Amino acid sequence: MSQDDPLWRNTAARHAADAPRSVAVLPPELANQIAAGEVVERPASVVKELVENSLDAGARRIEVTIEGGGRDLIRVEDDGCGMRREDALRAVERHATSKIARVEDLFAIGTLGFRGEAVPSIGSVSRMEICTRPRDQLEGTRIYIEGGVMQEIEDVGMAAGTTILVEELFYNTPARLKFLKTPATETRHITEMLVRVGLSRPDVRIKFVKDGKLRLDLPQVDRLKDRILEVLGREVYDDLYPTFEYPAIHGVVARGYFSKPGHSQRSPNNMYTFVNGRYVSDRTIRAAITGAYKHLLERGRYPSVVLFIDVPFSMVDINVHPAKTEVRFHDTQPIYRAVYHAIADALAEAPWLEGQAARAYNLGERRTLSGDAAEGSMAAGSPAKGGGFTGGMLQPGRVKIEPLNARHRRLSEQDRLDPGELRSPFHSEPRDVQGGFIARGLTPLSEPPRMDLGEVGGSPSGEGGPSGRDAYFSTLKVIGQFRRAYIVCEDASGMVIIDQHAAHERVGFERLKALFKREHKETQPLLFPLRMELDALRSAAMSEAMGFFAQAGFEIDHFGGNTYVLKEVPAVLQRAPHEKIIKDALDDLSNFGGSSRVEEAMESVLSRMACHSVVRGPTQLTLEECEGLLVQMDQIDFRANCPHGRPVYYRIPLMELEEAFDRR
Amino acid sequence: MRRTPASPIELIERARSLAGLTLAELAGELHIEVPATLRRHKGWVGRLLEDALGADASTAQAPDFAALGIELKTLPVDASGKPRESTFVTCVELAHPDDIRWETSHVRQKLASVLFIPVLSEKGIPPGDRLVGQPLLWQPTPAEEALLRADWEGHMRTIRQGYAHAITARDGEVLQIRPKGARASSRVWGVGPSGDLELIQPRAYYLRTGFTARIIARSFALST
Repeated sequence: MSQDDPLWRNTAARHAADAPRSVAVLPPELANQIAAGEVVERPASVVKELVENSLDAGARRIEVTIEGGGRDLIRVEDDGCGMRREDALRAVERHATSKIARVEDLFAIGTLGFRGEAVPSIGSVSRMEICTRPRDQLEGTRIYIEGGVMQEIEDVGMAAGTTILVEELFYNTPARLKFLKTPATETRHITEMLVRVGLSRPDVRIKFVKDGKLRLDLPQVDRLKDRILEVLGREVYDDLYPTFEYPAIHGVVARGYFSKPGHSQRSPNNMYTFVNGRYVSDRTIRAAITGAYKHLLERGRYPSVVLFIDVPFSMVDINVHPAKTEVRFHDTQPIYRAVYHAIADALAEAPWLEGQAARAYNLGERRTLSGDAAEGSMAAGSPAKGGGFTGGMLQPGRVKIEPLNARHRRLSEQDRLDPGELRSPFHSEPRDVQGGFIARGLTPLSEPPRMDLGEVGGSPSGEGGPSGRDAYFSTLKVIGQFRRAYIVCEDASGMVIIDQHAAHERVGFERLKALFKREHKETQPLLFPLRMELDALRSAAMSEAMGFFAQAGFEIDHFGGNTYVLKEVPAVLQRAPHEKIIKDALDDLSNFGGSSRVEEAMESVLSRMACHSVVRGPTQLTLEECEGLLVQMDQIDFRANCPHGRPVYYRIPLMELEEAFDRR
Repeated sequence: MRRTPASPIELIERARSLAGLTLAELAGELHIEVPATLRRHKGWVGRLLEDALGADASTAQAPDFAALGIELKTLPVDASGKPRESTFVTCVELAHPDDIRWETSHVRQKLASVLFIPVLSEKGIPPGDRLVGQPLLWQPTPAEEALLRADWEGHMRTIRQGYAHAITARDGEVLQIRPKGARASSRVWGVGPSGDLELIQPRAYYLRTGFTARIIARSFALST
């Protein structure tokens, strides 16, 4: 590019050498300060590094004290294994660590730290005191470092463990000091960091004192959910449900808690994800979580999730950045699938309804439209069926009995259905030679069909549905209809109002999806093939993704260079923005190793079809029709929300009603 | 000119491989010059595609791919897939109408199996820039054949009575008859009102645009 170009200015180019320059080794203090620039960004990074060292030292109690937002003082005290004097002296040298010794260890890092950079980096930009004593020694060691230079070494009497005091952070790097925010902001960063640590280690007591005031005190607990209660509060706690234990995918397992769709917030701050115990902010994991919630949350809303992902050491590289909140996965597909299924498969079951069903039963007023069969199968000991009928069955983790849940059984049952039983909106008439199109022709999509709930199966017979899970909607007693748009029902301890359009829509959508899944291979040729000129990155991705697109129903030919020609599209997407979907999917494939764009686009079309195919305006329903709808609601996934994420039902507890009438 | 395809599948595959090319790209492959305008080169597009696909018709009445019994029809369409003109089928047999039955008629033979190749022909697009679309091997459904037959039989009744000259382009639901000749003064032998043969203006069968539009619409999606 010409230097004359007025729009092109590159400072680095102007500083490039025009003659050989001499090369010199940097003094250690300067080298440490440079390294500190990466490791020690702000007080929160100091706290993070020191707390992680405490955890790696086996501490069961960690106390963090700060003053002036961490700028004036940071003290981290633990009851870990401590260090001997010679080890403590070595710890302040760069690249000195007890956590790895050989190159192979880099690929099996189980500890939180390993680089041997944190302590010397912190020491080089502050006044630091390290006091440490192993349990088997009577006296500890005190080391004082100022600006990276060791000033004092002496014996000290102290409890077993390590206490590190960092004062006047960045006192010798004023440029860095200028970048620090207000003490309140820096304190917030430290609190957020400690919350993450707290969630990752419920077995460790964590105290945080700011300017002499206790800000956080997390006692040791046995269960993660108890720690969540302490950290995220009752509101989040009440809305969390355990993830589905999906079998390991290439050794990757995701487990933890997720919030029900009714609970959401405007920022993704409550999405805590840990890889091998380390807090990680990763795009693939986030994409999988948001993918699991698609159609359940409105755009711009985020769930609360605390998720631990176990990944074989060989599949993850944590040596990407000194801060170690980024990791690199060798293959992102298993990560995406493990996270997605852990949440989506549990969401599909709407476990928050089970509690209400159980409550109804326990109060002895349960009325089932389909209860006989359900109870019968419970008697036969079906592990996943009728969880609401015994108190113990409702406990988180009951699905451990089987590797897959009721949803998978339901889907496989749908796959076994006689094709004639359900008629697809994409159904092709049998093609005969006389009918033409013998080479590639296909019956085109017809107008979106009007969904007749009676027509597409799911009759309200006394079978309890194929779901094999706790019935809720079918246990409700229908009181009547309000404004011909809402079905008013009661359960044992409250009044339940059901949006009949949303319920119809969800039933229609799930049925369409099931039908489509079996016949999604149907494609439609484009009248004029679409030439797509891709940039170099997308072109490289496309050359590897041809199989992916072919499987999704896109026929794409390489036209030479970076040009590809789209010739056929999935029939359901014949009116979709093809080029945009393909380019977005290519970007996803490059970034995450997988993409759900095609599926999302298809579901968006199906969702629209479902919406248009059911009665939208007020419609009078008979009692039987209301009850039939409720039974069908129990037979489908994601029964608590319509395909657009709106709730299907609203429940007013009896207690609330009584309070409103001053009866309590 | 390429080798004649040995089977309908080979023909279709060959046609599919042309889809997405411009006529200039296709003509370049065949070393054929592209005219600046089609005004003085009527039929150039059809001949280009016949050459590219290896058509082997020896007579005007035989299908373009005689061995396969498949007729090739290029279909000029606009960007929304709507045909821009009616589709020529074959000349009307005016001389001995009493001897012809639908089953053995040229119209029936020509339309028994047609390979439609849409070509993007928007106004203002030079011939070389026009895009070749995806092929469609069409055979009339029973309902379509019934429509074609009803129109053909209606036309033939009029012709047998000696009133061919009275048939206008408005007659026929899907199959129309229009004058066709090299010049306006062209004449062929046909039955006159008296029942005797006389010289009358030549005519030909055309598929109406609405008919071909329906075939295209139900078979293809449009890129968006």
